[in-house]
Amino acid sequence: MTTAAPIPTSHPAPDWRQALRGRTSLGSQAKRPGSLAGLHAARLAHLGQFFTPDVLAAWIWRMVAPAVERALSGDGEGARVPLIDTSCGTGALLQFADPGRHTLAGTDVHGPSVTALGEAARAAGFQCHFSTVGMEQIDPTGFGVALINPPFSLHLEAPTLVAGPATHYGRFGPDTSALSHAYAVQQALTAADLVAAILPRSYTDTLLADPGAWPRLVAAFHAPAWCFREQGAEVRVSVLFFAKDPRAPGAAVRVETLDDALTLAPDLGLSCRTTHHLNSRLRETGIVDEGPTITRPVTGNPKVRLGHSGRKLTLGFACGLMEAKVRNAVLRERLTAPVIDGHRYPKGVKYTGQGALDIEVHLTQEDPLASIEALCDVIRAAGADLEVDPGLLRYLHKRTRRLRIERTPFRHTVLVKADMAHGPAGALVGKARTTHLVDPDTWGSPVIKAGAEVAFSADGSGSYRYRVGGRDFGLAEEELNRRFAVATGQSEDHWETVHPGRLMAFPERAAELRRRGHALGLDGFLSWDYQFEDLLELSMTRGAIAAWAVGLGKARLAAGLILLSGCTAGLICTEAYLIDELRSELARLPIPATDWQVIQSPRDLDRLRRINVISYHRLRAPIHGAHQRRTYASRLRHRIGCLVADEGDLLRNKATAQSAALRMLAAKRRFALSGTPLGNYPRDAFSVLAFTGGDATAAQVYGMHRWYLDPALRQSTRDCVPGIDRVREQFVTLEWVTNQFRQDMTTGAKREVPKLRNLSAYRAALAHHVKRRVAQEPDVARHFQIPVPEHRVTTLDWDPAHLAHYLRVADDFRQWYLKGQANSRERNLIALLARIQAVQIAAAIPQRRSDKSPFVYDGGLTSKQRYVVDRLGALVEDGHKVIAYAEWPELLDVIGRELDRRRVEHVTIHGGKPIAERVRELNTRFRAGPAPVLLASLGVAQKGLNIPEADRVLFLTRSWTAKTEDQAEGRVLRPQQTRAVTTEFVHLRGSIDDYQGQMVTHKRDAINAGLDWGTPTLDEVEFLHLDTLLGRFVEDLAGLMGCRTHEVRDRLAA
Amino acid sequence: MMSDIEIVIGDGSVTIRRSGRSAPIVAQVLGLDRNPDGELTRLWLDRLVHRPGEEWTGDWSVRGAVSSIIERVGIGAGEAFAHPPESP
Repeated sequence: MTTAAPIPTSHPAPDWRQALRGRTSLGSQAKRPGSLAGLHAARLAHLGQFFTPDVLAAWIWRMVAPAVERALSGDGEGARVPLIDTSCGTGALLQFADPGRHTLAGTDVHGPSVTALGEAARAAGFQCHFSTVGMEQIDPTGFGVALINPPFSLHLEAPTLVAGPATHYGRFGPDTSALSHAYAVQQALTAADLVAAILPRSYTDTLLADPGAWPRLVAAFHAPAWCFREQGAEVRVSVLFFAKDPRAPGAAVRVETLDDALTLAPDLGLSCRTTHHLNSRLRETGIVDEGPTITRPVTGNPKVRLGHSGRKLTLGFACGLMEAKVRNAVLRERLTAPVIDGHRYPKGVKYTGQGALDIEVHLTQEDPLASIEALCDVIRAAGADLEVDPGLLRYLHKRTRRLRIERTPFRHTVLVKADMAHGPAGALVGKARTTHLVDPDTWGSPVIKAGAEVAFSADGSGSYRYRVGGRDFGLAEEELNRRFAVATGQSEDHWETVHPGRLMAFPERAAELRRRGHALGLDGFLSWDYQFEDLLELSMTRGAIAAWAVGLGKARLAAGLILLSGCTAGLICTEAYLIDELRSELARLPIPATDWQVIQSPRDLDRLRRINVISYHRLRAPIHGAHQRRTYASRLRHRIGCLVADEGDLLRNKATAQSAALRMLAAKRRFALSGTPLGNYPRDAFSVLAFTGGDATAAQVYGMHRWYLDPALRQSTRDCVPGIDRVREQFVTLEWVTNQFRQDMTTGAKREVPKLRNLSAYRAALAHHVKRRVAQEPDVARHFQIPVPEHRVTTLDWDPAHLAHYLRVADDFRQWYLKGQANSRERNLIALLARIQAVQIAAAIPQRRSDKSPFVYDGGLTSKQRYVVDRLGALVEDGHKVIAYAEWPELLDVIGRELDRRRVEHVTIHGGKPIAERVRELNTRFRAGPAPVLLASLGVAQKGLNIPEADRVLFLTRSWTAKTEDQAEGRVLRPQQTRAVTTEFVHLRGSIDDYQGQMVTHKRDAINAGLDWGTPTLDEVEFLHLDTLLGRFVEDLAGLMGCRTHEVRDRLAA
Repeated sequence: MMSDIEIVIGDGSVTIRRSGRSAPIVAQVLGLDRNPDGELTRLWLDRLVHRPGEEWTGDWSVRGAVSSIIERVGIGAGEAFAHPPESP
């Protein structure tokens, strides 16, 4: 048994900790790790527990003693200084405390140490509070002195962490992750006046490097190396002292190195307060004694009322005891931290029985009414005299009926390619697309070579049987199409209805809507049968996505949806530059002028009309500059019966102001119109679905703010996951991802491959939310034809000067990116996009100067720019009208100047011009005028505009998304188009154009497979990330030039 | 997680002393159950005095989602009713 070090105060206290002196720390018992991985494993085993040596504890006590003495002498009789150690172990740092002069508090994850310390302290007569919890589970306040020797470098991850300089993004969201020693300092500084902390020397150096960020830090003493040697740890530590108040302006942090005898002990002039001024509390999370949770008086009245407020089941009580009995019976237990690594609970999920109070959970059960009845049984069994609100049962009946419709897929017709198996079929022969293993999960599986023909027979349940190597195998249709091209047994390409739709499933409801539609005259302007039928089908539920391809008449559908809904005020939201088009379209319809308006001023909000039109820009704008939170959207809240969000795929980003404005409206019926509802990636659809179909409802189970609505939630929420996690796990292909991206799939960083996982589940998830129509399907093609454009890619060689410039920029990006892979903090999408944009600019418009870029291009027009000008001239000479798209207005200006030189008339539209001027020039000079060339930025001309006068489209730069390119091309693909359409892309060989082209192709392939039931053709094709592609490009160049890769740039520069 | 707890049942309140904590937690008793022998079997408290998943050593066990219910270990069921049935 060791003895106590000399007590360094003028008031020697008895050695109350005598019984604990034989105990050894977990760290001192652990074997020395032999590697970094071993160090990590050892830390997990010994919990970072290394007891502070008595001599060092005595020195620290000597350093803080003057402050304690001053506080006690100032406050007189009965005052005590509250001390805390948030990783107390057996209390080495508290050993010199005196029950008459100090109170004690501490936490540690090691139960035996804490229990022994608590018993010793209580026996000695201390006012104390010790608890076996980690520092992440407390939020202490009101202490005079914090003496801490925290575990070093343990990774804390908990939703209970308090935000501060030490916390960062974790898997539970912002500020839910921290390193243990940094968090301990942050916590101690909040909890106590004076902090003495033993910290790793490396962390001390970090703090001292930026003293301005630590205004309370007054001194740092580097401790001798022997300090923790007895504990078996070779670690260099420092002891830091933080004062109650910030340092005086200009005062430096005192930095000293202690000798082996720890002789240096200056008075730092520190101060702290006593219990006369402080109310010290450990504040454990999850517990306890935070006051009563049941405050209702006990009356003995057993009446309990079960009702609902929206989706929440509510319980009304007349007696506190009954409330305790019923709530505990229903909610059962509080959830503890998930035991599975990587699993997290959605926000707001606290109890295992919580699912029982969510109507949507009941609706997912086979018999929702029986499920509610079972809940009633639980409540009655708790002793309640239960009264069920009759309104609840009516609501449940109504929702159950509505759910039957909501779960029925919309009518959907898809193109079945001749080489695809689909639907009921007999025998067929498939030709292997690639060489593959028949059963990749089994050792010794037969191999089928590319091109080999295999005979299949349908098994009647949607799968196919085949025989290879004397063994029988089965394949689902989707997998068959992925592995084989059907050679015989199928007819030619044909359109097939994969879902017959709601009108057939619910003929009575359909007939009722049809009668109303006719009575309103809606068939007069939605006159093509698919338009009227779709209107009826969409109107059967309270929300859906109308995914009509471009040119099918979405503006008319929007008006029809509002009129058929029967609401008194409906709202169409669209982009500002499309307002005039929409106004013209509505003016042509047989709707009285008094029944619709475009909202242009706050006055228009006073008297809403049946159809109201507003731009997104206006919707989110404040009504008056002085009241920023009073927006048009807030004035319209709860006043809109039917909302139609044009280009509704913008809802994919939950955080934007326009998404927030649309949610603010709280419209009863919500429809999103978009020809490209999947936006950028297939996963984007789920945010739009959550808006139109509800967030984690029985009809739309993927919650974007809530959980994934699994029927098992009725039994327990223990395995529940956030809906967003479920989407990611089920459908998204990620190579790596940051916690921030995992949280919302919008911000943060990731490396994502644009390929869709679990195709059939994805199609099923969309089927009853998305009403899809494409121009080529028979129901539409019967009325008009939209040409299928021909696509051409022209690849050009570089000018040497341009290539040298591009390589400098691209190489800079690549180096930055590879460096960032080692540092996750540098991985964020904004930084990445900024860097990638520099590469794009270097390829497309190197003449553009940037203050941020050190690279300057001083050549003339690039080979691509010269080609584009020549090509436009040639197309004009051939009598075509051409739209040339580019990302950068500066590039359009460069091309425009060259066209001027050649006297080719053109119109340029981009975001730099006012909307009115853009629309006027487009209409008067290009559409109805003599100008044969329209130079347009992708940002302004990709949506809504009808420009069938043009028949040639030229992309000067590529986009990142298939949607942007398809929308831009779609401007000419209108019913009025009479000529064949050709779209041309111009690439520079091996440049970022190729990468963007590859990205768009993969995204289009995935979206086409998910939305239009196409066969994914690129599943087996490797997706090359930008750094790989740039690397290969330089390698290829080096091969051509006969030099090494690092010499390429210098050679070109020379 | 086992915790050492000392329970003193008073008139309408329960005092709970946790190991390592000098200040006791005092909870009001909302109601109680007794077995046919008149022994206390279950107390319904007005607050949470336990952590999620915590087990107590000694004569009493604890559970409860919104308020703590403490039950005597090893004594027959209370006179009012046994544990509420689980949901389906």
